[in-house]
Amino acid sequence: MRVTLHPGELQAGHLVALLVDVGRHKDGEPGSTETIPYENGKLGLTVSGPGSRLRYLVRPLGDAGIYGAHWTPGAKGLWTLSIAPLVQGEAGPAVSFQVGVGVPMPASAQGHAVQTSRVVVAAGRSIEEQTALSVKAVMAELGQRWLKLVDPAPGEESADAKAEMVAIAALSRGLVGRVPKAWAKESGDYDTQAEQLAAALDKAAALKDRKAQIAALAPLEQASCLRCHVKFRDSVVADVSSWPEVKK
Amino acid sequence: MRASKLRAGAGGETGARLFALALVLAAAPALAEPLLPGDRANATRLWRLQCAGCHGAGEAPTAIGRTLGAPWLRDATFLAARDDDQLIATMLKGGPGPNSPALGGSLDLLDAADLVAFLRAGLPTVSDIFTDAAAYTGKRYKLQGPAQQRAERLSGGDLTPAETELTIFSVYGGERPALGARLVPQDPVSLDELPMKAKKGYVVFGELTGPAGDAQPVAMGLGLDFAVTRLAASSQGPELSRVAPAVVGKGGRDPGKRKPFVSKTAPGPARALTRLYARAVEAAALAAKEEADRHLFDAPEKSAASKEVP
Repeated sequence: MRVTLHPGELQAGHLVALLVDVGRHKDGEPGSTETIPYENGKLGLTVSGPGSRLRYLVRPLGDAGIYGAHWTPGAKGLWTLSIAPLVQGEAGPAVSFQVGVGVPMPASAQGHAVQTSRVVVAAGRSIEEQTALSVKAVMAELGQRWLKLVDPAPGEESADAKAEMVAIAALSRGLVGRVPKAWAKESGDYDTQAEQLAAALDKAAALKDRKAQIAALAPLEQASCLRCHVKFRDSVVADVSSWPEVKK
Repeated sequence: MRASKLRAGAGGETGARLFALALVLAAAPALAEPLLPGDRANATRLWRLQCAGCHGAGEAPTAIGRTLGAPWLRDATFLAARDDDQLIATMLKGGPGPNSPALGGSLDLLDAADLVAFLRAGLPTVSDIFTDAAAYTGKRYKLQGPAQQRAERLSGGDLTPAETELTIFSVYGGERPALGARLVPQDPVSLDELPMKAKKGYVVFGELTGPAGDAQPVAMGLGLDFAVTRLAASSQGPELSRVAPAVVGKGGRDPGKRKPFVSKTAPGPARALTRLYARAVEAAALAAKEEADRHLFDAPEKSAASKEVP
């Protein structure tokens, strides 16, 4: 069994994705490196440590022998993760190990071999580089930055709201001229939506205090984000020109 | 698979932010904690980003959501009538209506599972009423004619059009699956495989006024004799201990002997639960009759089936 944690450095309040690759050696071939995937298993992940003890379903992800689960550690410290069959006593893969959340990984618990993560500091793309990515990637980045402002995880509260808003506005402007193909004939409307969001963000960024800046984002979620999404992303309405009235 | 045959190999991905562990095999004890379908903390953010715009962040869909026909998803009946896989498929692939978008481009399977955990969190379930439930079916019935009249007589007033419809869940025992009670689809073959002898009773969901004056979901269980077996609410929901003595064990198959629940300490909840029971018992009778008809020619269970019909 191989468990991959993403990201490599775990932080309290930040999502951890566990990918579990389960296989066994072929019978009678103990020296073989070839394995048979463990399929149709029902596995559970139990997390225990400085926060609440919880048990999650580990889901098959489609590829044979590949399972996964999400977990957001609730507190900093050493956590014990156990993966085992859901039914007690049922034959199947079982593993238990410790991980450090906001603290170094415990050397004693790292198993037979450990590949430490490389921590890359300040290796992110510039806003200009990000806006050149696909629309989907730009929107994902925009969404993550937005959430960090309106619903920050522990430790994220200090993000510079003005700088973030300026960055989000730049991402939004980067969408101009990149209307989805299905809506090519309405590129003008699409561009207007992107420009309007950027302008609203610039205006919010110019407000004096952080509280007012953040408060200015809430109305935009309906008036700008949703307005654009229901048409250009989800294609559930055809006309949002009279928003909040829509035409299907 | 024997644990000793698992590969405890080294290695991992070398990406900058990936961390791979080669693991020592160890037996992990099975624990009694409730099994979560996903990570609620992640879902809270996903909900805001992907869903709240239409389905709402509070107690109801937003104005635009209502325009588009977006349902309120944190609904105990809605969720009990769908299993996790159905909910995940709907999120990722869209549907069933044209206004329900496919979010597969924005969410992956684990994200969708997180949202399922978020939606189900704190709501009463079929298993809260029948803790040993192995399977259940859900079907919506419309009360009309004598059934509606009996329900209105017991509840002490006319039913609203919405109240004349109710989803009732028929619960069966047996070998409980690892993932909990299984929702059996309403197709003839699946329904036919449910043994009537294993039937344990019925569950309906309704609402009571919570501590903050808001509507809180509540589950009511009925036995095969149509008497109330149990009530359940979320941990943040209404206090049921005061009203339960006036409700649990009351009611029954004979319409003439059904009386409104009376509680001096909790008169409001007693009235609301009477109204729920009045509808539930009629819907349960319809479900029982339908099931008896389905098993009419199953010789060993025929006599039991006929007893089901009031």
